[in-house]
Amino acid sequence: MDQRPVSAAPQKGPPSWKLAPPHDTLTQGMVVSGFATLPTGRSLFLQFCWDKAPKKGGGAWLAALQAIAPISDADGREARAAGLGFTWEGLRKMGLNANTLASFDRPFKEGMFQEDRLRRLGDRREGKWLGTVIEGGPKWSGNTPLDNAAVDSEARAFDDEEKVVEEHIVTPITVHALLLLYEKDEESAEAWCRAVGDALAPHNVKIVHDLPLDLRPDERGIAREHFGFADGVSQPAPFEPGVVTVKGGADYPQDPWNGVPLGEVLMGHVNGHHEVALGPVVIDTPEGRAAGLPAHARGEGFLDLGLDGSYMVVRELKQNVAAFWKSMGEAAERINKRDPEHSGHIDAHWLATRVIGRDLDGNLLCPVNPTGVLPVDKYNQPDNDFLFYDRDRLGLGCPLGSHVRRGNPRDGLAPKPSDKQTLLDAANNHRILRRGRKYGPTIADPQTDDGKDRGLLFICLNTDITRQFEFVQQTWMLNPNFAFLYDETDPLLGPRGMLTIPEKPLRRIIEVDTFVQMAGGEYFFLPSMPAIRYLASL
Amino acid sequence: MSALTSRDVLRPGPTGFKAWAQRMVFALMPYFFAFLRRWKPVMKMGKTNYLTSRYDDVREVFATDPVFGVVYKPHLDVIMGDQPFFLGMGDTPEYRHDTDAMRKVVRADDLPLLAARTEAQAEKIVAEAGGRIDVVDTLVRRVTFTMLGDYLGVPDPPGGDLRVWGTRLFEFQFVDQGNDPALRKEVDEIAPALRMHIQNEIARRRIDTGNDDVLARCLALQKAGDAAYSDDFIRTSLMGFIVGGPPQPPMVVPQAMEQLLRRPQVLAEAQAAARADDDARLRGYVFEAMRFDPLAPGLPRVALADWTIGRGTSHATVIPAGAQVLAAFASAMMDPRRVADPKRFDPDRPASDYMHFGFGLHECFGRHINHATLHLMLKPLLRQPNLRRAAGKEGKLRKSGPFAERLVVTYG
Amino acid sequence: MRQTTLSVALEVKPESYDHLSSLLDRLRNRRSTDPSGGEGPFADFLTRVPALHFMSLSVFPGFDYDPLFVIEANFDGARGPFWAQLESAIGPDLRLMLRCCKRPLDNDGPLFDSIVAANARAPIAPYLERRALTPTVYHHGNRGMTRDRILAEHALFEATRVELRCANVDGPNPYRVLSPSQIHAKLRAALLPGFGWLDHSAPKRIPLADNIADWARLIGFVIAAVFALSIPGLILSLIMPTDRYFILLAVAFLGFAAMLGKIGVALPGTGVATRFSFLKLFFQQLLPLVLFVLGYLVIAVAIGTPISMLFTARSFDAAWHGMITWLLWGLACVPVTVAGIVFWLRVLERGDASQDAPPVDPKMLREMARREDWIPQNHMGSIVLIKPGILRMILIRAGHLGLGLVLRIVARQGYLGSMRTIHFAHWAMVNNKSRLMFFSNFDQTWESYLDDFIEKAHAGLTLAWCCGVGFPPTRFLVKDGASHGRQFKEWARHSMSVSRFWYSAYKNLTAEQIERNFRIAIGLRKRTLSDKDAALWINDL
Repeated sequence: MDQRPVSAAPQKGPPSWKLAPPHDTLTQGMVVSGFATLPTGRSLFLQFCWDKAPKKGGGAWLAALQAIAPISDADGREARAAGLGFTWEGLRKMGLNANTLASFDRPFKEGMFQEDRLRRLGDRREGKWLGTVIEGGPKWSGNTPLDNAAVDSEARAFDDEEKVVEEHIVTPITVHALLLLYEKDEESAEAWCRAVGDALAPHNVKIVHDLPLDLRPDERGIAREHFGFADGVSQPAPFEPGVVTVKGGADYPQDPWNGVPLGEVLMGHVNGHHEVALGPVVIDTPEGRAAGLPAHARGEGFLDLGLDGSYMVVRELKQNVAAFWKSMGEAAERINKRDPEHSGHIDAHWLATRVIGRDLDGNLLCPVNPTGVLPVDKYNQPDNDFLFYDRDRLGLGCPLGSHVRRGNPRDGLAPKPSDKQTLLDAANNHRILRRGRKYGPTIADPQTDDGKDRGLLFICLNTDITRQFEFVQQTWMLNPNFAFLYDETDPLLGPRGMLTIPEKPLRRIIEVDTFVQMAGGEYFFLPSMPAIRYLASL
Repeated sequence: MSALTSRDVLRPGPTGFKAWAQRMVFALMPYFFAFLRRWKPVMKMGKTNYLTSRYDDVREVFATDPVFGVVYKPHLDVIMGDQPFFLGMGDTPEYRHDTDAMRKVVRADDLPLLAARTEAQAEKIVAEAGGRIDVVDTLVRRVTFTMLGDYLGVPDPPGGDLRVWGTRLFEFQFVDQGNDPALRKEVDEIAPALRMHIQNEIARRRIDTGNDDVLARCLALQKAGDAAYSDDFIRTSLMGFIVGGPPQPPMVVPQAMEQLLRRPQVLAEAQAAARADDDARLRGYVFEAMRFDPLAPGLPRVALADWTIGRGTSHATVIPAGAQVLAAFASAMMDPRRVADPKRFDPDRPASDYMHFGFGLHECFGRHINHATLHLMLKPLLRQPNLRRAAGKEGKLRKSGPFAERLVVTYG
Repeated sequence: MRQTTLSVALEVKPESYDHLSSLLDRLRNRRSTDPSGGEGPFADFLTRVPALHFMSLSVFPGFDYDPLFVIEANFDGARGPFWAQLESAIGPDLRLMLRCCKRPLDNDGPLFDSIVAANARAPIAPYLERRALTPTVYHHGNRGMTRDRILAEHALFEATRVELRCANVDGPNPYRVLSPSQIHAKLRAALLPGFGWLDHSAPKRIPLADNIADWARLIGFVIAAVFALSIPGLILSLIMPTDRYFILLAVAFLGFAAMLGKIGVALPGTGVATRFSFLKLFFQQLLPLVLFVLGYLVIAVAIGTPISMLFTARSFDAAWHGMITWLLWGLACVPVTVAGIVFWLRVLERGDASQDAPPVDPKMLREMARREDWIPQNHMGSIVLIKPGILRMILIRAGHLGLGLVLRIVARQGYLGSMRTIHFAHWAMVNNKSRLMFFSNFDQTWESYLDDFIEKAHAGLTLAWCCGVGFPPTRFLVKDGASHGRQFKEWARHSMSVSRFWYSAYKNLTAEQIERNFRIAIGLRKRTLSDKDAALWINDL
């Protein structure tokens, strides 16, 4: 469904992908859909306010929730939709078995705010939050406890090493689960939220933080993020014979540009590295079987808790719209002053499109076409079936360091023509399925700061957090040497720095400020429908 | 004429065949060392003498000071009138005590001042020389003795010349292994006279404090009740510095100049560094030039116990107690086993390629002063346009034994 | 200039393992900023060990053997001077570390005693020199670039940026109105005063002698391999009638081929589609292969004819003819020998035990994570056990030798497949050649480095590492193997140790950036560039 932008009006579009039975009823609906027909909603950050993990009854709140806000599955459109993810600490508090907790992937177990991980994600270094994080540090996280690897407390004869004590990084708000509600209008959403809050309160589950989930499409049906650019244009297109299909039941074909094996998105399926994407397991119990968990393929006596589940990466990214346009304006002014003869066309808008790599409507910048952008495809939507190497190897159209090129370099990093396919295949092993929406009011005048809180609730799905989300963030977005550049990072997400804009005869380099700041984040487990039933039975 | 009033810094050297033979020995030394390094890294010479020529072995001898002691004490006793000086000691508490005491008055933060004085003095001499100068005597020796004499607080003795006295005693202490009776006779005159001279200065300065120099600092500490600074200690230390210090730059700096003159391209680069006021770079050139003709072929040590040099290697050699070992640092600095491409003139070499001032416990006390000043003695000269050798023989460095005697250059 | 890559692997007294680890940590924590010369951490290394590019000191815990202390160094020039420089920089620390090591039981014992005895002061360089291992395969990403040149050219790059940004800083930028060749000329004129070396011609990165030696070694290796593979044929053709010999060859070849067809397919669940194809490779390399075979014939005839004349007293003509026929009959056997070896290998591969989930110690992993991703470069060191058997032994030695020689020719630009992220990497055998050690200094993260291998260079990597015990299942030495992403990564992590002390002389420079700086410098060394050349050159600015 969502190879196309979520903003696409429900008109005729390219064939979208869906899951074949039985996977359609086993998978949460938000995997296959961005719920474009439900333009508003809420993200509710839940905290379990009890002290010790109970032996029994930790899933009671979830059963109550299912009554008021049943989690949507993927077998078709619903009048309103809900999605649900858990942090590791949340699962522990619900009383999930310690062995099961140990069977999750390392990044999830350690949490996003593990000291070394924060360094890799560009948030914190040597005990200090960086400029790409909001003042005073992030508001919320899972507050995952330090694990056994954090400190080596084992006693050994002949050991005289100084023990390094890992810092436990704590945020004021602790999030144990994230509930995503999608609705058709604001009043229904508000009412639904209240009902959910009332249903959860008796179970001692509190809503500790909430954000709107807005699409707010404009008159042309394009949903824009706060800077004004169409969002979510390029998505990976999963394929797996017999499982991913088009309407009518035929196999969804492997997309040559954006195709990824289904295992990149869902656990229990073959992934880009020719392996079955790993998920958690639980010991075989009648409750597990009753919930519908299948037997695990390799672990005798265990059930597969992961099949058709995923990991959900969430980061609350606060956007400073006025600062963005001010920075663009200043950079344009500097260029006009330094190059009065050849910079008549350069203004804040021109530079902003270079930072993103697309125009405001989502069309890729292109050095060949006289309009400066790729023509729309046959469905009158931004063309997403393109490669970089042949048309724009040097980035004369879409700058090498622009946000879209860093987000998915496609074949653009190939050193020579014969390597194009290899590099495209390699890049497609690091794709993420994005499900983010914006929060906060649209700014009235993009030039003037109104002091209101707005931004993007970045949400993405992947099965190998290290190889997908973290790779994109670290090796593409924040890599100072990405694409043979030097000492510059993503102009949108990165810290204050530079952006090279290739041009004939001589490149321009502009200075860009920090406009996007992380206000909270965590890794969540996005369980399958049977897994939700199992968790509710705890 | 008495040795005390002599104006000849160097005693007359050998002439005729003997002089030629001596020059030949020095000229062939590098080849001899290369041969030894390859075939006989630890060579026995005579009954109780050994010569080590490889980098590793030379370092081992210098580093292993508990076994390889210095041989300076007998001559030092003559010079100092049996007062102990740390140069003659092993690694004893007394040694530590004395060197620590001297470090309190010879301070690292003096170096910039010494450097500035050196450069100014050399500048003045070069300016007054009128386009033609003897690098050995007119430039380096005068700069060194003036600068260090001022710094230590030891002026020329009445009726005598500190340059002559210091150099004679230096020769007796470090060069004269053969116990030349003529030299000994001179030393027997000069040593007590210099002791007396310094003792007189101590007495004089106790009343008239004068400039802030090493002597003044010693006396201040003495006055403050620091027992370390007895008159004997002050006198012996100053005397040791005068004998061991200033006679050396006039040997090695002209030798470096000679090496630069032999390499026009290198000389041009060194001159460029001097003109650009890039002192660190200039030092690189001068110290590298010194590597091709260092102060001496080596330094002697005496084995205090049986010791195997190069133990575990194919050239392991037992040195019996009492044997004397010459650690040939000149050869070590040319050992391709440890020094990259040693025949190439490379001003960017790492510190480990050099052993100009020895190594280990007895590494030259004045090495920091050398580090700060040696290259600056040549700097004003190198800045001169059209710098070249003087015509004829005097344009080439002449040596008398180990001492540089004369090297005339012209400029302008 | 020639660069040296080496390692010294020393067995550690198990009781001193932890102490040695803490010595390494302390050395790292002490990273000083020396005021004389360079800046930043390890500045004294920069000035005191000017030959050094990358160095690591790590200690591998003991599972199958006692712990191993490994010094890995990559530097300019010869070994001897490097050891002297290193000793002058951290000699006393190294001596303390060596005291944690076991006394060698061979002839190096006395030398070891002389450097670790209480109060010992003998130089340690001779011991390290004696124990240094020569890599079986090594790779240099920026071949022939000395450290000083890398630093100098980067300073030039920084200066170009400043000049282009700040020229006429308050008014219009003069560079924006110039043609490419004018930009080049103006930039050169502006930089020349600060970079006098732009007037000198660039030193050759690969001197002629090195180039000839690289080729000579590779040719020698291939000819020797052809000879070795034809030995069975040479013998059989002597003792069998010709017609029967050929019948035997044909039967044997068909037999091997049939059996290979049967067992050549991947074992269930281990096959991975790859673009790598033996047939394609064979046809790509057909011409050089034919040339090599011809070369072999020429050389073998030149050597063999006089010998045969000597032994059989035949005339020159007869001897020459006889020799070439015999060699050709021998060559006819090469495909059969190869098929036989491949068959044998495939039998072994089918029986190999791969480790699906190698245990990874979470604490060790955290120690690694704590030290990774501080700068754009990272480091890894790993040791694996080598699979047993005579065929494996021969294939590893010959394979590594051949791979090393081929890399010297084909990887001169620093590319392995389509990746150029490695500065220095090498393999060496330790513990009496029973374990294989791998060290690499690379750009970007460990994850991206391994992903590069998995996605872009899996064939070469599988070839070099498939001899390791527990490696994911492989086919014909190069297929499958490293394509099993997570399994391979876990296997690699499992074999790694913490890089406790690691030094890089240019920590902000990727291999790509060094090449970019090099291209900029090469352009600026030229007095003029045509507009066409300048337009290309300018892309790097």
